[in-house]
Amino acid sequence: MRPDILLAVSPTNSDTRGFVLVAFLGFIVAILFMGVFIGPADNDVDGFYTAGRRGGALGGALAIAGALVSADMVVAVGGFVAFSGYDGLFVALCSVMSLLVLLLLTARLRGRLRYTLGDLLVERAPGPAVRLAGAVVTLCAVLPLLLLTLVGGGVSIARFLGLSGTGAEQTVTVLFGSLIVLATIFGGMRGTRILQIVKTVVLFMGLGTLVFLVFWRLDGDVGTLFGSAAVSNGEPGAIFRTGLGLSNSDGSLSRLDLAGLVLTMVLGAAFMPHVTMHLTTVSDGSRAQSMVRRSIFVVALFAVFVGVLGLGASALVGNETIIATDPSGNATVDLLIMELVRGLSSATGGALLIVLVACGTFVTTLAVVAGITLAAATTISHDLYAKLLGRDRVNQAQEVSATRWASAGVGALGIMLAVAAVEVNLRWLANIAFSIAATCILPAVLHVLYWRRCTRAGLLSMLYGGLFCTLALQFFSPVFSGERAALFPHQDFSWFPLHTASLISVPIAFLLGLIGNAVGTRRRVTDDHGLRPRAHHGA
Amino acid sequence: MDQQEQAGIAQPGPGPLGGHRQHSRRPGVSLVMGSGALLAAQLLLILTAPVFVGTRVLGQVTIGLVLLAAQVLLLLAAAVWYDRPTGHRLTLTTQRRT
Repeated sequence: MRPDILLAVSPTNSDTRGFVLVAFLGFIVAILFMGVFIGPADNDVDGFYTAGRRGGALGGALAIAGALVSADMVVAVGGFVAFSGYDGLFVALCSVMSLLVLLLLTARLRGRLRYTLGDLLVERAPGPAVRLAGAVVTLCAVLPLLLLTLVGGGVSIARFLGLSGTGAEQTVTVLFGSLIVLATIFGGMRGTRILQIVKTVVLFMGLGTLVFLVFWRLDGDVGTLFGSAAVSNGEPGAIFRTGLGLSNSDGSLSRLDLAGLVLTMVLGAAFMPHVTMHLTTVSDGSRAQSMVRRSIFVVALFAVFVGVLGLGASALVGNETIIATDPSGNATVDLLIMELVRGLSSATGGALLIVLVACGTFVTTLAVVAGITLAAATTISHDLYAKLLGRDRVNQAQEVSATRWASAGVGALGIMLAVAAVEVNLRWLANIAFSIAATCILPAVLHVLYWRRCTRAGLLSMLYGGLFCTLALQFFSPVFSGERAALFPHQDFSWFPLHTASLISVPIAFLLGLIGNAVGTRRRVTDDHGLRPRAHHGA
Repeated sequence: MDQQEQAGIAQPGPGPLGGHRQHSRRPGVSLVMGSGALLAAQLLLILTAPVFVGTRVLGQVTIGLVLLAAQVLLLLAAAVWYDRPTGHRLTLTTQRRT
């Protein structure tokens, strides 16, 4: 990322910066008060984790959409659309398809999901080992996303407020991260849910305004949008071909990479723990289905918005400028916003747009971080503390208190890591998070809900084997080394050619589950034979 | 921790895939399956026939974009119809009772 270039084109000047800052701070105070005061009044576990299961389908749909569509996803997919047209549009649609997969499982999942993934797993394979595996997988899936969201939100907000430099970005990340964690500690699921709903509405207004301005600049013509984006891409007509996407190597590898990314998103996005936990906020499976159905429409609208913004950036800003600013494409949407603000005739209109975008970025970061922190804290307090360490002897007040402390701990850890990594390109963390969800969580859920011969050995081998496989493949992939946008760009220890692991790790996880089930079933039969004679002796 | 959980006793599981047969009659499920099939077809085309996917049919619009648009329509149709028959049956049952 090159903040010097971004700041040079930043439309905020000393006159408008004061207005932007005051309006933005007013919004923050209002949102945080709302999040804190709506939180649960008593120390009831059900109230803290599930908002009393009294949520409505429409509110739940907005909350699920809010949890699924993060600012980071808008930025990453917007940049991907600008660079690779068709491939990017395909990826933008993947979140919607993921919700469709979730819809198929919703009724059964809601019927069996109490609070956490661990609760769901031990229903079929009781024992501390499975609960621990569920907790490990949950934390491994949500913590990378927490770090990514905190860094992305902090950097974006600092930029919109006209602040430059690593120190300013770190300060903004610490301040806003702390406020967000406070909102989670006091708000619980009820506060988080309300924040997600507000976030969806504000983000809809923000992205809707940007889409309107893109079409306004292009005389409302979709053909002009497509044509200008195609010209900006260098070779007219090439932008809507496939294979322009992720890999720097030949087209076939790039297309395989696209297939892997699509698989990761479709199987992983909606099964992230901070998304599925919203299923517990409604009373029954039918209402949960209605909630997921409605969220499909909301997320589909966001996908269209992101597609238009990516193509709009390509058409109005130009791919050369985007690449010169940030080769990874992370600055695409920011550059488009600045271009649109400069195109407005009045300074006040531009300042209002900046306020709207800054508020949208803040509330998006707030809601997603709050959801992720709550999911992680619930896992720590419920699975690890209350069930495993406390052996069910922990009362409700102690468990809620532990959740609040766990939220503070998770938030503090996330903020510390975010401050340390504020200058690092962390896009690969999203790959890891979604790959873990696709490789471990979805197969485990399918096993628990549908597989009659599901055993503890099968679940454990699927969860740990899938997790290890995902992490190992990602570590040796181009997102870690061997590429300009990699975590270690000057080293090359990559031998796995794809950017996402799911194409390999998902089948391996299923295979490990089947092998584990076969071994587990045989062992259970052996145990049964061993037990019967003793029972007869006892009789 | 529950006593059963401590004891490590496996719980009886649900039926195999397709245990709820009445669900398969819903038109929404067919649309979901259609959407999944279209996704698989698109991925297959991307991997095996990229030139065909990039063939322009109208201005800048390619076959790939047409397939994506069809996917969006199928997704939305599936979301609309998914549990509608159940609701319709419930309404009819309620009407008969009253």
